[in-house]
Amino acid sequence: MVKSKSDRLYRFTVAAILVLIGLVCFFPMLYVVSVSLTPYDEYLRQGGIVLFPRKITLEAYAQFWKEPYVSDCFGNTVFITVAGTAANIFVTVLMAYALSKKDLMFGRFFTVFCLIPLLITGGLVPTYLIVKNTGLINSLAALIFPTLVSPYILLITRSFFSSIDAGLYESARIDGAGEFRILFAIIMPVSLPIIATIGLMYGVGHWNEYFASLMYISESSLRTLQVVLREMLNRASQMEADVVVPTRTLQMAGVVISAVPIIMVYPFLQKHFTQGIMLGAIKG
Amino acid sequence: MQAVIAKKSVGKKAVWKQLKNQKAFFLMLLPGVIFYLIYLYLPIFTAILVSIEDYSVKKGIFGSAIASPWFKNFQFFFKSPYFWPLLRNTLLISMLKMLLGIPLAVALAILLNECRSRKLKRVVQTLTYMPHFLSWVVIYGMCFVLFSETNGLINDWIRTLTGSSVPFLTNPDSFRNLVIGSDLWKTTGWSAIIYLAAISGIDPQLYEAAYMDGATHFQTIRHITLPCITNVIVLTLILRCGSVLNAGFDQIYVMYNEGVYSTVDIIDTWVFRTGFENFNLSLSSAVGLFKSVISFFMIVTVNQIAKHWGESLW
Amino acid sequence: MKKRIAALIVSALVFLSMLSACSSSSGIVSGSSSGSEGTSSSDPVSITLFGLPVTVPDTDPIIPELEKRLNLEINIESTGGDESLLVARLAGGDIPDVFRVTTLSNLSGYYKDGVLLDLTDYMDKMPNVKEMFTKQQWARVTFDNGIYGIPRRMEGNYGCWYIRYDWLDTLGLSDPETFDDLLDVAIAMNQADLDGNGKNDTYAISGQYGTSAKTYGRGALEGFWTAYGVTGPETIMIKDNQAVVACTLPEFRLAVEEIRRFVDAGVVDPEILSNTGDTVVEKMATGKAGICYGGWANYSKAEQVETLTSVDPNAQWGPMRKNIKTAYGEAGASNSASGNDAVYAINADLTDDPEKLDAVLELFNYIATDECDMLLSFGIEGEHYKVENDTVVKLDKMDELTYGWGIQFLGRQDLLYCMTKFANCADYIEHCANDVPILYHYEQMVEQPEGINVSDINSYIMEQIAQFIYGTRSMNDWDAFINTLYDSYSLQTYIDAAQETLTKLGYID
Repeated sequence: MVKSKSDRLYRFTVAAILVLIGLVCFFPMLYVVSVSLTPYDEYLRQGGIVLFPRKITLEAYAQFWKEPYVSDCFGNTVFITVAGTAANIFVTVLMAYALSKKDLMFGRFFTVFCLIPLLITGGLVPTYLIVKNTGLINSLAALIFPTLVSPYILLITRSFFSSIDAGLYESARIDGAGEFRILFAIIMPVSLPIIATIGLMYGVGHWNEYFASLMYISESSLRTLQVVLREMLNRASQMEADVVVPTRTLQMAGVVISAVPIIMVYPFLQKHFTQGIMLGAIKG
Repeated sequence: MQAVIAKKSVGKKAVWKQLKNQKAFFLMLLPGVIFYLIYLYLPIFTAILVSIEDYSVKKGIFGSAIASPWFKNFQFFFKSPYFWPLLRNTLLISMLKMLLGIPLAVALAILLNECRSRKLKRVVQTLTYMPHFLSWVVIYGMCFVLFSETNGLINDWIRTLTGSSVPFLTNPDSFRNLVIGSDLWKTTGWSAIIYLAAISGIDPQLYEAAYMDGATHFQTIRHITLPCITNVIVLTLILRCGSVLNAGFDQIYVMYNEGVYSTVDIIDTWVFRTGFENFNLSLSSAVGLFKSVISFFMIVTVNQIAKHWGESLW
Repeated sequence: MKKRIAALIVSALVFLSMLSACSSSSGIVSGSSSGSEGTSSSDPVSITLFGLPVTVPDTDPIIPELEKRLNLEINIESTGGDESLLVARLAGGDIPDVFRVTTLSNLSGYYKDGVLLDLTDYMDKMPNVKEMFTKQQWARVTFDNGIYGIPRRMEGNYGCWYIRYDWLDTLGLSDPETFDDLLDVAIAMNQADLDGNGKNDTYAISGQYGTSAKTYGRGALEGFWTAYGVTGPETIMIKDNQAVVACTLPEFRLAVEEIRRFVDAGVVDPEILSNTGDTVVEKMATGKAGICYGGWANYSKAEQVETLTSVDPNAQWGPMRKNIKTAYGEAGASNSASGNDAVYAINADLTDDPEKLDAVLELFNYIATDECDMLLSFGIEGEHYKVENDTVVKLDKMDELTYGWGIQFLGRQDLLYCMTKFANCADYIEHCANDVPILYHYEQMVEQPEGINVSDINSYIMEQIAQFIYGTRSMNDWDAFINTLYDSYSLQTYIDAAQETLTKLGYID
């Protein structure tokens, strides 16, 4: 393929815009990390403007790790993210696959059934009542079951399954394979892009869960990391004499600890998007 | 995307047989449906009940008396002098976020797709979705550092240039822009993921064919990339229209202060102050119901419009 | 094959449901006032205390000590003081044994709902508690001749106007005594670039903004209000035996005009509305503010002094030595007459569980003793403090008890507590508690009348005051503002309700 001049210009422009966008996203993050690594008095001396840390200390991180129950809550967050996402994907995929079948009996009814909660929600108090009456209060399961399927994500998954070549399904069916077998052995391998996507969406939702954790769990050791972080950040406005107001560096260290693990996950999943493209080429 | 209703076969026996054949699918639906019934539908009915009652904690849902008049809780909301400003702010913020957010995310996805360097693509993509993981408290802190009139980086530069400073954080209008801008910063990269996933599902043969035909880059984007992801875009649009009364409680609650109520106080923040801090449970259910009803009408309407373009949620 | 898949699904569901069973039974189950606790009376009774404003860390030694002394099992459930979590919990019909209520208005709401235990018959089991509080304090938690909550000892005043002395000295100015003086000082601070960074970035006046409930009466503008004889704009004062909303008073308008003078001179931090505790101290430390209202708890604790002197070691902050005077009053502090804290209430259903009820009453009765006071205030003798010549001396380990205030269920002997724990600023503590003139306000005791949305009223007031102060709204509109309050927000109904409550409680004759 000959690379023409206009082609090169185009590629350059695309790259330049992307670099710019990347920088806009990057600098605030850099700020957060830099401040978290700077000693507080140094931070003040620089007038609060620190883009590159001149002196480095891990003091703020050590201090954050001393917040009450932080290691318990960190563990809880990891657990519900992993277990919860697995449950989410399992139920969502099953449901979305069935819904994507055009000849499903009562298919229209089920689709509407699944869409209505997208528009109408029960709200805080009613949902709390149901969670309580199903015995989930004060257990980590309260962060998994009540949000087992997101109608929105269900929709996305369903539309992905609809767009899969029917031929794939037909040829397996003719060979006499059962529906479940088809789903797990044939459809799933082709569906890795969507699984990666919804896994990421559910996963991030679980990792960042704050309000549900606060509402349904009053046992401090069963709460999640975001609760610890927010409680610490809220202390900045509290007026009680005993309260030690968290410094900006401590706040930033808390932010880094709470955000970095989940950010690290994405690069591992990104290859599944490209895999999908390659599979498409072979399939064609 | 329309699920076609099974052809009405002749006779009950044929129907029964078809049901049996599809047994597996119903089994697949089962766990999800149970979940839906318990955790999504049951709360809706509960909400309807609670919003027309004088809810008493002791008497519970079924024991509490119906409010007199039954729309008392709704009335409390509608009669508040804050009602119209709240509605206006909510709609304005929500629509601006949507009308700016969707095109930006699509554009980013396309740009990433057009990028030939795998490394650059991966790095930029990671950078753009990272803000999604930051909590609003932190993003507000960052806005403070950048835009603060006394401490801020940007005002520092402005002051060196012009000698005066711009009240980004305390002027109601510029504050609303800050709310929308920071939301775009936080969510664009993340929203682009879904479009990118859709783009990666486009048959590469289409691209090859276009290249053979001598199409320019812009033409390829316009005639292949965009149309193939239109269904995802429309889907997102419809859903965002449906949640038009949710302007971002988490964000605004963290960022707002009394000086900017006039532009950024939304329905949800008002309900939180009035309903929960003041033990008025029925009020928050009533407003929640109101929002749900509006969002229902919005989605149905927008979906009908979308049908004209061949897209539909159902 | 299908059967296998089905079995797989079923077992997965079973596994997941086992998960929930595991979590809820291995941890301490909260809120379940289970009937019989075991036949042997040496088994500790389990009590749940819900709604604490702090998270109690697992390294805490105080609660275990309390449990040991009373043979109890105490489950603490903290909500960060967020009343909405209590509301949600109650809404579920799952009423905790003992819970903390943050506003008296809500307390009355819970009473009307029948959630609260009437303590009148049980007061003889809590004689120490009975003695601890004044008649007025008991009156506040009494509805229809029944007692429904347990009050808390009030804290002294912590607030006053702080000023940066070393700057006064450098500028050669003496302590300001009138607002004219103060304006001169502020302008001098603003123009002199005293932090030597070559930039004219010093405002003089800063602090936090918000309702008195939020700022504990220590907001940035308290000095102005109190100097004109009023408290915060949304508060209710008593003047000439009449309940009145502070911003409707003519003196209040004068105070706002005074602030306007300062704003127009460019010496007021434009970000008072969005400042938080740490940003104010940062501004003070980096030389961007010189006159900040707050209190010893905001600016004089050890770690705060460290911050304030980290950039400029010569920085010296302290309470103003002379109070700014006007024809209407003297700058001081404004405090809520009912204190800024909450009351504890007991679940009405505990009458079904006499053993637990007795345990609860015993607990509160014990908390009201001096011995327990020492425990909850200072910690464990020998570990956190020692007693020398009849005085309590703090040991270093006491610094770990930053959550102490949250487990001081009935409050503490405030002056003693603060001066022991924050010994480095004992002088300032005493000054704030005893020497600063105090004005009281009463709105936190008033029950929200039917059909009135008090939170709307407060929001509107705070919003408009901010606009008047910064000049977004002209002072010519002041009367229109007050009229709107009466017309659109039914202010008179609110005032009448306040009048009624305050008369009932004996503040008004």
